[in-house]
Amino acid sequence: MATKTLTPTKTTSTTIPRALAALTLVTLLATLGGLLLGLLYAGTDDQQGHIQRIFYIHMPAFFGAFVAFGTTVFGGLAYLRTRQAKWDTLALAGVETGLALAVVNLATGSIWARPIWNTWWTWDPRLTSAAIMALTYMAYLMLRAGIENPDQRRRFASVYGILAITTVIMTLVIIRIRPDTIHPAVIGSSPQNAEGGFGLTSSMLTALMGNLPVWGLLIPVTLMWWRVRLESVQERVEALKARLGEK
Amino acid sequence: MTPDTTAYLVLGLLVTFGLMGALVGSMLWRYRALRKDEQTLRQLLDEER
Repeated sequence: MATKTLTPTKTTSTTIPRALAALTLVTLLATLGGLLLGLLYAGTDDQQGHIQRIFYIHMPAFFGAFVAFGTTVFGGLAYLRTRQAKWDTLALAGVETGLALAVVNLATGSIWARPIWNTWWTWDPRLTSAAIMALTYMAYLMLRAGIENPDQRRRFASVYGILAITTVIMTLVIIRIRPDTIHPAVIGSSPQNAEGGFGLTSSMLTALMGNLPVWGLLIPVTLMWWRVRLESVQERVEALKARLGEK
Repeated sequence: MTPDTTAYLVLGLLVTFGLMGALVGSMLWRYRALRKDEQTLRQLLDEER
């Protein structure tokens, strides 16, 4: 029996946009630069030792998650207004990227807590709200994957993505409204800082300010852009499957 | 005396870059799989014409 060999007959454009390539390169270099600032330039904390340096990733990663989840809100609102699938794709990219950064934030916080608080985890209000936030966005991905109808899925995901931002805002403000948290407040003074806080010297502040735009903006934007590109290939494949099904 | 917490810093960095690498790796893996699917589907469509 003769068998046909499947060989590619037609290729579609795989060219990476120049802007994306440049942004990726800048992000990689900036990440390396930020890492060097935190490891080599910033002074060592007298009381915490080198583990304090993880803070230059821990806090900026949370702001990166905030930016990504904020993009999900924007994408969700734009989708509900226009019903164009591209906005839902942007919202999805925001959730995947934000979730990765939120998990980095949780993991680095837990690793910092082990030598400083003598525990990997405690059900402190700030830590609990951060965990709820991450779980809320994990649920977004799981629930979304369970809806077959594309329009229904996009509508549901948009509304969920908009409402889920409340968990991010709660995580941000909880150290200001709950006096029983032991999580240190980095910006501004706080009585909690006696439990392992951050009296930042100028070199530490420089390292923090250097890493904030890297983890808070460059990394989330670059990752979201790549994720949107991935989704566009997924959509092409779905369209081809539909065309093949019609024949 | 400053405590030696270097091992925790190394662990934190490994976890951070491991997680980010896993995300990038998963996107790359999904991209390659989709491109392969796309090429196969295009060929099937060409053959049906």
